[in-house]
Amino acid sequence: MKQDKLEKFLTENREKFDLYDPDPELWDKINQENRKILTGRIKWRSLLWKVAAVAGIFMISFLVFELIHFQELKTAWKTGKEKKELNIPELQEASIYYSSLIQSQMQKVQPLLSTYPDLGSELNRDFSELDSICLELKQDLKDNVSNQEVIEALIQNYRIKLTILEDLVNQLEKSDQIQSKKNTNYDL
Amino acid sequence: MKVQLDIHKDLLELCKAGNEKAQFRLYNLYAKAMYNICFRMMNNREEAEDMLQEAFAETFQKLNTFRYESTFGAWIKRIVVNKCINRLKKKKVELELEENIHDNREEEEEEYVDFENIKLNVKNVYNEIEKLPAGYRIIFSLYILEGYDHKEIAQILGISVSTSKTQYYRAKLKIKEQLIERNEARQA
Repeated sequence: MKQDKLEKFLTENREKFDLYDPDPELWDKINQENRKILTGRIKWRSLLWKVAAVAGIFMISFLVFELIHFQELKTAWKTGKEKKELNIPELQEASIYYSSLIQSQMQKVQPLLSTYPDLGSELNRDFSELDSICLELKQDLKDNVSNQEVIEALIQNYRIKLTILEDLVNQLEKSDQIQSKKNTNYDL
Repeated sequence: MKVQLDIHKDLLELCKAGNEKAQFRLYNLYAKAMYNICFRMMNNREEAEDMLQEAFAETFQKLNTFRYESTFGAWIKRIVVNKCINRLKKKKVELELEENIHDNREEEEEEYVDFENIKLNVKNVYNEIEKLPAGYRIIFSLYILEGYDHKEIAQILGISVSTSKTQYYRAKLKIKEQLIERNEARQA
């Protein structure tokens, strides 16, 4: 675009058209303003940090409270379950009754097993299997406390243990008697 | 280009870090040019100083957002111009920027104004610019002295490009008219 005389004059003398100088005190005002803004920012940041710290403390307290509360609930729930389990009289009675019988048969069988170590290992395996079944049944009982089938299965579990022990004792005693007869015959 | 863009990079980085001495140096580099822009926009010394103060405060406040995508001079100039335009709008200064009267004046951009027989000097031309109505004065200054094109001026002022071109042309005619009157008065 072709420039006219005025435009050429202005372009060539552009710097001369900045005629005026600002007040020398103006910088002080600008600097003060800057400092105010900076202080405001620092105050604002400091406030934000305080708010964040309070929020953090609140959150931690809340979490700790929730954790404690959860643990209490968990304990209460567990003991409640155990109490419930103990509160089944039928199971309690069966447990005491069969445990004493099993204990008694176990005392009989232990000395006899010393001569039959293989039978001892087999007995331990069977009992371990029955124990793990027993644990599973107890878990089922926790999930469904009033289930009569589970209670019966648990009692049945005790009975199987007892039957195994009784059979074993009978057989071992018989076998012992035969052996001692044989020995007597030899003596004669 | 890169060298030109980064000419004050070290200084600017110090300013970003809040170094007051660096900020004062930067202020000294740009204060006069920016003050004269303010003066031409506001046409009043006190208001020009207010605008300069506000513009520099905003510049330092927003300096961290400056990413060297333009020159710092162009960046701060835009802040200054926007500040002045906003203040003028708040004051409801009549900028005489009506769109409807300029519909058929598109070709005026290319029109050459003959100043051949008119004597031009900085003081006289500056005085005539100061006497222009606000709308003429602002568009004339932004275009020929601040180096914005009509598209940018249209964007800054929220007017059409053709309005900007027409106002500029009319401003030149007005200056010519005033200069002739002045010469005639002097001769008489």
